[in-house]
Amino acid sequence: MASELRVNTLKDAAGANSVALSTVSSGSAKAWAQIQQTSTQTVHGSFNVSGIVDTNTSRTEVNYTNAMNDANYSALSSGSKDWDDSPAGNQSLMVGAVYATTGDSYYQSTNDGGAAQDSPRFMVAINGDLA
Amino acid sequence: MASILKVDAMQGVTSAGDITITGEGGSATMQLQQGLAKAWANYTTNTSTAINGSGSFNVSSLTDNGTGDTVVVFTSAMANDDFSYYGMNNSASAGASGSQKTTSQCRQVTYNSSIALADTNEISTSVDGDLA
Repeated sequence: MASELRVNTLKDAAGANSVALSTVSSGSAKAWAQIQQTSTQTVHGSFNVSGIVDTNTSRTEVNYTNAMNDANYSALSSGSKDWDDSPAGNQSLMVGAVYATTGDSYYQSTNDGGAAQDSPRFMVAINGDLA
Repeated sequence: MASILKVDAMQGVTSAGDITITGEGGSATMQLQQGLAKAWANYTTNTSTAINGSGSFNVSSLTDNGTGDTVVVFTSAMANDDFSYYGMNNSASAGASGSQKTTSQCRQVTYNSSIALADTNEISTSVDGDLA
């Protein structure tokens, strides 16, 4: 049977390692995704992501299942240029967040020359307040 | 009234790996486990490759793959290799590489401002995804 527990603070059984439920909630990522831009844009793993939209070369819109409370959240990203190759060469590919709304965020990948280039994998994490 | 719950472990009732929490706005809900970082580390690759102080969680070791190239090994493995991980450093930029990425580890590369692989003393990595 499903049950609901309402508490303000969690501690271990010894009474140590105290953490407020507000910290658990605020400190948890609200969405994350591993995304392929090359070929057909594909989500390989995700949480709270309803889908992506291929808006142009190297551009991806990430839509959330549950919306954020406002647009003032943090969007982190890391990308790779040659996902399956040894990184001995230049693997630099910047993935920047272009804009964010409560329902989605939008990313652009560029190489070290500043030109748009699809990433074989880039990853995003969203931290902030859910609606 | 404020309340404190003292426990050493938590599990969902319907599914052990699924505990729901309510978001800050009071309407949306999310799965607690999915939102928790599964590993993180603050480490250096200068001189030797090592965790800075006590700066890690669920990281058993680091493997020096060469200049600016580190494999982060997890203590508890992930359920699959579709997890997300992110990196930053105090040199220029950090990137991800899928090679050598398994359920037990991920590979992080770091660059200087000339876009060359470079060691640095402050690299941060965080991992989101499903634990095994």
